[in-house]
Amino acid sequence: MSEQSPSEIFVRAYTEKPGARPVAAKPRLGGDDNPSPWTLTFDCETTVDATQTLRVGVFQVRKSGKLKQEGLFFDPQYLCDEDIAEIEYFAEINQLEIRSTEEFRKDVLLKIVYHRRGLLIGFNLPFDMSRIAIEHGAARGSMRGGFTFSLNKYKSEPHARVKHLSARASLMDFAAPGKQETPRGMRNKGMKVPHHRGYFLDVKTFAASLTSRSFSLGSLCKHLKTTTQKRDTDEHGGPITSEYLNYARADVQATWECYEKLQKQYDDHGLETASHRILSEASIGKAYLKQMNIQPFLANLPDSPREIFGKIMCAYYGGRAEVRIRRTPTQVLYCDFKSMYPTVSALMGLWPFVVAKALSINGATSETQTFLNDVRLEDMQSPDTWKRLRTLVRIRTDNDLLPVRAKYDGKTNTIGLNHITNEQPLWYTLADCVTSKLLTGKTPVIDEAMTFEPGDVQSDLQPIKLFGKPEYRVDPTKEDVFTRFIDLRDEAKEKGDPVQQAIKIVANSTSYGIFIEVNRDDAPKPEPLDVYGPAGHSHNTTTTAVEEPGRYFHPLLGTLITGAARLMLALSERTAADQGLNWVGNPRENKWCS
Amino acid sequence: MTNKYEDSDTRLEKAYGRLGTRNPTCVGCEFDGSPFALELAHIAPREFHDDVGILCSNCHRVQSDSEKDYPYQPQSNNPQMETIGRYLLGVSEFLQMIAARLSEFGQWLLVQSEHVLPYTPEEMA
Repeated sequence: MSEQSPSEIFVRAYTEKPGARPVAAKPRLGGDDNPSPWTLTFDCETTVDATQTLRVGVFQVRKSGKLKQEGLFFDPQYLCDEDIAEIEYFAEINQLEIRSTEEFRKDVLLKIVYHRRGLLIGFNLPFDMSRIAIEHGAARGSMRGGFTFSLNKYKSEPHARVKHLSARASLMDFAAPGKQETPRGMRNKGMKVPHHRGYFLDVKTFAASLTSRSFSLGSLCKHLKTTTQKRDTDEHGGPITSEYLNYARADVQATWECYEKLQKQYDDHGLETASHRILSEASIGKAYLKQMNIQPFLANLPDSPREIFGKIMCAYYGGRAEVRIRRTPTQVLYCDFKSMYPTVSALMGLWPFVVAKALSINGATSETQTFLNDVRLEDMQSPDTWKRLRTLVRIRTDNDLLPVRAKYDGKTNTIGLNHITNEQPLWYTLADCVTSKLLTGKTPVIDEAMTFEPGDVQSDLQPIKLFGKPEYRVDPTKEDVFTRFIDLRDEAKEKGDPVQQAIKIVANSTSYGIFIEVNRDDAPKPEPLDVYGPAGHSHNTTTTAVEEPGRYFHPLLGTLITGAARLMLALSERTAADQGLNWVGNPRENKWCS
Repeated sequence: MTNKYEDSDTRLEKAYGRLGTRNPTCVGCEFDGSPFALELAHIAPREFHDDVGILCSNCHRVQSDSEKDYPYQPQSNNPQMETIGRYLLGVSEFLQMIAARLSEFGQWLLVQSEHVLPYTPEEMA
């Protein structure tokens, strides 16, 4: 809780490009999305100066997992004669191929990954791609904001494109080459062969998605207990030796073995989505919803009133993360919450919204005020009370304790719980109002309330078996999948089944982030945008910060879930305060101190 | 001068890319021996609709022949209805081919059932 109320506050808005079709309403990619049996794994060793120029690279070409080619590549202009001689000697005694970087790009990378439609595997792949490129530029089209890397001097060959998404993931693909790819016969019949965009798999991204952890290659090898472990070397930047080349060669082998083990883990999920499409835990969550044949909210209701989205997004504040005591030695009592987001989703009964064909909104101002007047701490132990929280309220704040987005440090917007008095009414979740009441004893006065109800269940939903096991069957039509995931994880944990960690990831990935996914696109020049704010109506603006809702975007769920999670924290805070305890900090967990 | 990577693996992948699947089979005769002998065939003439199915070269010729009984583009006073009608005729032809294959498979299963023992996964394991 911040002690000082900020003078200026900010609320989230919903923005949309005028006339744009939501990604959820666009048809999914057709055709075969799986790579051929060919794979190329490679790694680059570079200089240690700021340029990080390629010194030597190692590659492996495999078909259906069997090693077909292994070799080294380098650019002679960046190596001295002694280094080249050492590489040639090493290649000869180990029966490895030697290629120039240009030959590697053309006769190995483009041949295997583009023309034979194989899978390109690497650890921190964008870095390695940038090391072998002839030149770079700004990417255009769907990858704008990213880089394009030229791999061949001929325009008939495609450029590779990389767009940074997060510390863990990047989008990678091939740009369309400058040549006709549709045979004349098909063109005459009005047919078109789609551009091959390539299959890229960054083992670092794949591992983070499957485990919810960040790894270096060394730590990943240890975690997966691969036969080949990453070796240590202090020879970076020094003369190239056989030990250094063995180190580089082991890196590629270790990367391949990590990929194999992770692919096996992914295959156990039994998902149709290809592994090269997995960029985060959220990708796994979306793959599960797709497997259950759940149609996204914006696919079912592409014309949902955006005015409502504006009001809902105004009430969105994300998770509560605050530190009250820092740099002071304090005795603490650790308190954590089990599967917070799946739990509050289950308590509020939000699964029917995920599988609903429609969404209805009802005015409920007087009954919501009555509920808020009457609600007490003890009531929150009843699941029925939580079902009442599927409501957003507009309140005229009067020293109420609510989440506030403000520039607390004068520069960056962050969110804190503040006593706020504001003449302009603001939208909050009902859960936030309950939080305010329980922590201050004062009941907020509601101006307007909207309660949401799910429509009928979508047809053609498919049950799934987690990890192919009949005992882990999940039926989206008959049960609350959030609850089912929590129960399944408990069962697996009790049985000592190692899939319990994977179930935890599935539960978390399907219960929150994908519903509030908004992808920001940095446009090169300002573009028109419709902005829907707390008053509901839109106004037009131009900005370079263009946003696009993700495939499973459902703002109501993201807003209700985080509001309820803040309430859960407040319940523990109230209970602890009643026992004379203070709190230290809460990234969704608390540490209590006396 | 351009780069060529026309070895057999590349040609195979190119053919799969053209057909949009790595498991192409002729709807008409179940031929799946080589993607090079398979083609994309319009379900109705392209002036009516873009949807395609996979046929081998022989079945494609046979399928295309029946299209010659009708005009290749809408000519009636109600092109929308004509388009839907032609599309449905095309779909029904594909479904007839599929039905014929299903019927043959059913007959084959009946013959096999006389002398092939039931499949028991436990024994196979």
